Amino acid sequence: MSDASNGAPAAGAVPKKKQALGADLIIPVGTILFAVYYLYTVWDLPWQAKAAGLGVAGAMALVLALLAVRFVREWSAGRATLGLGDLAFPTVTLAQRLGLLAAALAFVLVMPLVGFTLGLFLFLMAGMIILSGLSQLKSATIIALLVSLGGYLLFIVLVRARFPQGPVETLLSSIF
Amino acid sequence: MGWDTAFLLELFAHSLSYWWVIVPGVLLGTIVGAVPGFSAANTIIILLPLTLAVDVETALIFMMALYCASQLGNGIPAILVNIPGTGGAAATTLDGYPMAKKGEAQQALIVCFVASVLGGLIGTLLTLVALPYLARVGLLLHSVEMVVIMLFGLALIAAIAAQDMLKGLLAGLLGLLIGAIGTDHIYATPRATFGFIELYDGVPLVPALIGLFAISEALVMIEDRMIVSSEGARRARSVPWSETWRALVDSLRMTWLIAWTAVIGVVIGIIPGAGASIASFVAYQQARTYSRHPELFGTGVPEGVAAPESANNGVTSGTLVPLMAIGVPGGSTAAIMMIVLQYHGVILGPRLFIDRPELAYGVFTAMFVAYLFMIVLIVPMARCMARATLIPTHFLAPLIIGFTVVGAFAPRGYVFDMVIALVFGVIGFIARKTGYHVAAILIGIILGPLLEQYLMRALRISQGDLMVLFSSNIGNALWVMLLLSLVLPYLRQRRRSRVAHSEA
Repeated sequence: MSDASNGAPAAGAVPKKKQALGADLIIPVGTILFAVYYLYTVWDLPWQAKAAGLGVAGAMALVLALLAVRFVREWSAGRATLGLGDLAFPTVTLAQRLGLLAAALAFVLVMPLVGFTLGLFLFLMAGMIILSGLSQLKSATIIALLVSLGGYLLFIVLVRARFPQGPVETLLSSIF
Repeated sequence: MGWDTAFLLELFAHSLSYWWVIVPGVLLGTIVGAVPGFSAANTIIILLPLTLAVDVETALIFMMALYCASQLGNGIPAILVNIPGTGGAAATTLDGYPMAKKGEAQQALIVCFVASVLGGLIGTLLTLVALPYLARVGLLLHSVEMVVIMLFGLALIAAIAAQDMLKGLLAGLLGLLIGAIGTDHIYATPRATFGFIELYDGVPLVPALIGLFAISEALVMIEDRMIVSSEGARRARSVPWSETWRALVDSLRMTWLIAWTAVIGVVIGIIPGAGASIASFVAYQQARTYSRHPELFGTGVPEGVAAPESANNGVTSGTLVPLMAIGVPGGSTAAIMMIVLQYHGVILGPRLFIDRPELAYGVFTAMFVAYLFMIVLIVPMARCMARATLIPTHFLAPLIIGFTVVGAFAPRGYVFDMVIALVFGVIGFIARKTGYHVAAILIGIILGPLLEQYLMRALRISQGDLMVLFSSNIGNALWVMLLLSLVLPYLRQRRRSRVAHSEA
């Protein structure tokens, strides 16, 4: 089981391998870049518009400095490496993860063109094939078909959500 | 109008006769509440042609049932798959999901349902009894007091960060800075919008919530065959009915906790602009502070599910108090209800209680009845719902991403919001895998803009004098309570360790 529920390590878990500082640094580095960009955009604004940002950035600088000291101490003591840890491994899972994200991005871009129902069906099929291979093709097709039709009935027929319409919606609108 | 038992009983019986409206309202509300992005407000907007076409009582009772049930529905995905239906259920994930992972999904769901229903009933009853007095609460709490209430919610970041203080604090601060994206509250100048006009109103909450919780969870869960451990799966498969009954009885043992967190919900609900997100975080933080075992919060304790669920259902009645009493809606759902009521010629405000008391009080008796129906309709479904944790992740992960990405599109109808959800999904995934708590990021995103808004308002009134924050008696009392809730856990922990040390 993953210990990553909400980002909190499981209570009582004993770390067996070295801490992966490469992975641990992604959020702090991203935070620094974002904070610099934020301050750049508010620098010339009146104090009321930048007070919150300056206050948060100041507190961030303090926390980041303490975090940097901790990381340097752990690295110099040999308790940590600069690797990415299980963020990038096993490679099969990484490939599945990237595939799923690519399929989700394609779904987002294609849905306005093909409509909600067909877009969802194609994404579910692609996602399930990426994760389970072709061995589960029959189950994947049945689930994707039932769920996308269920989604159509719930969102478009029942609650009349303003989702993009496509050929399936046009066809089914003559029935419902 | 004073307390009149006969009148209220008559209204109660009248509301019961509308069961044919309440049942579909409850079922639809539960479903839309369980889908991230589909809030009660969205659904009521979509169903406006229906509610405007029927008579005012039918419309009001239907909206009440749907609104209350959606608050309850929000907790279902929060427990089963770590995805809160709205920000109001984000605090439920902190203990609900760990319970589900241990194979206690059914117990967590029953705690959630019982706390929601009891919290809703207590909140409604309190509102009915003390409506004239509660209506004044909104007038007593100004921007200064709201700053302190926001800090109560933000104090939860420190509690969450207890396992790794620096990472937790950094996550919370990152959330606060993300929450400060968008135009400022005084001059409306854009800040850190990356040139996107869609970010001028700030980072949209629903896509951020979906990304941080749903998409990141889907990306993490594919590492395992199921979200529950093999032991948890075995337990979840063979849960006897006696366990269901025991979970129900155990939930009822938390009635006191549910009662006072419901009161927190009612009070926060009364304040216009505040809502279920703030109430649930404050309730969770308070429940943890005054718990006998605060160190277990976050590992899957029923109290951690009961407190936020009770509070966010207490909000449902609180949010209607300013609407009915002074004609000011306490939240977006109340604002839409106001449109429907005004369309039907109902003039809201103090005169409503004199001119049409059956409608003014009927709103709350309808809410009471809707909660009673929920016990019968929803609680027995917990056994069935709990089995969702047994679905293999190679099917579950695409289903979660598909439905939640669509949910990100629903509130504003922007494709941009779906991309935002994916971006936050990646941020959330990295944060989870490296121990930066996503709930701390979310608390910052939700409460940051509100804190800034109230702080700026207070400072503007005082012409920049920070001492305005200590200028009101209620505010000062809240400061003391905040200080106590921060200091008390440490004092109790020290005393406990001293006792343990002396016993050893």
